[in-house]
Amino acid sequence: MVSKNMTTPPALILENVRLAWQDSGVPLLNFQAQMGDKLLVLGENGCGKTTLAETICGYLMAVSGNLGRSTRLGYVAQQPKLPLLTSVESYFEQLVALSPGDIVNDMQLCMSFFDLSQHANRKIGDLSRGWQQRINLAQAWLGDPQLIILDEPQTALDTDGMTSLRKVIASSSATILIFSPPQTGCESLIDTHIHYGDLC
Amino acid sequence: MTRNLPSYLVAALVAFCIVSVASGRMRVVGQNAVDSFRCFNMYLDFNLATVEEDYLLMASLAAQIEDISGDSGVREFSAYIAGYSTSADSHNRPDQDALHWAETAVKWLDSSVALRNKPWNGLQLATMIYADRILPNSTSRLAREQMLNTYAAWMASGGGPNGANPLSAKVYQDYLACPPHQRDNYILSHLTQIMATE
Amino acid sequence: MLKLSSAIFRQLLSWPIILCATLWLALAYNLSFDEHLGAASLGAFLSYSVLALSALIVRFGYVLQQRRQQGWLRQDLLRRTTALAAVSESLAAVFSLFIFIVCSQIVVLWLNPPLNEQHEAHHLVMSRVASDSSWTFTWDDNIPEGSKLCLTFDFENSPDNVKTSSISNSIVEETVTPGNVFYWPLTVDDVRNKTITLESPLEHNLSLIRPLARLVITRPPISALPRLLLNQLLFFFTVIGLCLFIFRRLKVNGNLSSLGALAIASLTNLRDVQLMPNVGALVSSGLRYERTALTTNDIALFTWLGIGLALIYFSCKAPRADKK
Repeated sequence: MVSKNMTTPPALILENVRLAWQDSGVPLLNFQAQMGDKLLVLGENGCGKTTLAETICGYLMAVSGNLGRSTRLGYVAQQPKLPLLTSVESYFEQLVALSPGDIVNDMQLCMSFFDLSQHANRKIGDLSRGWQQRINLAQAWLGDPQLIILDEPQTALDTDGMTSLRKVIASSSATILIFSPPQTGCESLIDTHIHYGDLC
Repeated sequence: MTRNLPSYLVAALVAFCIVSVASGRMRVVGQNAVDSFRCFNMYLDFNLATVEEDYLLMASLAAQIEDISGDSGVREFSAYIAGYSTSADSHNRPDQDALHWAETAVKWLDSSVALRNKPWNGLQLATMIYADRILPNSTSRLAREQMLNTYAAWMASGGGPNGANPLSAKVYQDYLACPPHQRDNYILSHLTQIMATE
Repeated sequence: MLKLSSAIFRQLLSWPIILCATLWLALAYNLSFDEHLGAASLGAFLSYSVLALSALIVRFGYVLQQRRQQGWLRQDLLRRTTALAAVSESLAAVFSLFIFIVCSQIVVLWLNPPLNEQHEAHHLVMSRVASDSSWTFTWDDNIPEGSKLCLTFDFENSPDNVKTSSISNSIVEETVTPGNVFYWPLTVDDVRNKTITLESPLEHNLSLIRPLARLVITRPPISALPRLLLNQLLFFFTVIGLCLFIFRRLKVNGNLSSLGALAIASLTNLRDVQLMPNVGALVSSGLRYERTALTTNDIALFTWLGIGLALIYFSCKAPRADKK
């Protein structure tokens, strides 16, 4: 369990959470992350990292237990799901339209994090997998999120991309959770590492 | 299983609709377009059948068109062509052939009186086929009875709404004024008059 | 939100779809009002219009599924959108249907096709002999107000002195003349009850020629087309709500959702069993459409629209992410 300052409300709290598809013999998840925490959760393939990430986001429901988290959330899915026929700028404009509040100025900033401005008018489908991953990463910072979940964010990124990601993570005030298998290069993104098994 | 339950339920609902449509208990949204299109095509086939003088096909299509659209005109038209117009002297049709088609035509008309949206014109046509094409070649008492009943019904309706003959009400009242045993003769003489005029 | 709506709208009505819709409209017009083979009936045109709107609903389901695959649903959930932003999907769907309907109206009203000359249609009605001098007529559908019964009476067995007779329903009495079709105008109550019993004086010995009993229903004029098409839009509004609810709340595949929504909407036409509000008449179409067209009562209509609004509201409300 990781904890920092118990007086401010935690950004994420899991109490005796049992995930969907989890065998009854597997220990329940208990975990707490404070505002501003940056953690890398390492786990082997199939241990349940993506299931946990999706449960935190609300796509899957926990079978039992309590799960609480910050309201504003950014998420980078393992498999980016992007509108391939839409231009990069238009995609971000539509995301802004989806988001509550006035975050219009965020859009250019988020795009600049990963040098997307140069491809603003190109269709997403025309871009390489690496650039699509940059779009996938940039959208997570839209809407001033308090908690950002990154599921294997290093996928398809080149050295420049990894450098940009490292910088963005370092400068972000949000709570950041990265899920990744060991030895993929994600260890260089964040200093605090825990193993998935430590969450139980 | 639980996760996919809504999908299974929706799929079952769609399947239920398909079964209900097949059993005639339900019409799905948009099904009428299929019927309208079928009707259009059947009108096309009906025209072709008319050109080819395929009377049985005409009658079959007419029944289907009538079922979908309620258009009784097609059945009356096929009966008219098969049992009346093509039996005119100018067509040189053998008597037996003419009699066969005339009897078939009145069967088409008589059997569908209760089902046609507008049966009135058909009553008059059936009477004319009886009088002009069947009775001259047949001694059947049943045919005579049917003709008299059909014409009496037509007179009682005054030719139907927007009846072709505005005097038919007067004809029916004259018919009723006759003593019951002379009413059949009234009809026969009236029909003779009409046919002589035509 | 406007940007989001216009993006979805563009996705929904792409150029091939617009082209198909235009061709369909032209085909529908020709099939309905062709000089020689067309039925010259608004009902035929309405039936093609309903099919096109159903196809647009299927397209809507497809777009929803595409958007799910593109991660839009994920974005909706992530950003905890207000109902107003997420409702843009349904707004775009309604708007696309509205455009099709307006185009249909413009085409028909501008070209002003010749309709069936007879403004009255005759329909079958069930009749049975209640007693020696009374008859009961019944019909299953909601027929329009102002419909009439068209009856033929046989006076052959009447006494000689009977020159006219009367038909009554114990409140109103009408004269019937031999050799004329007799019309009995149905009251609002008769139409609602779907049955009426008429009687004649027993001593007049009238008999009804039952095979010739018909319902006379006035065909809506061409000027009623905007209302008939608006009814279709109102019907499909709730279908859109159903589709959205099944897709977003029940998490069913978008294509299956649209089929499911159409299937549920079709339950309004299920015979014998009343599972849904009686709004099937909103999409009355086909060559006998006048029998049920414009007969939807206000309560059923508002219930149907209420269901649609509720479904859209519940499908647009983002689910709580911190569920137990």
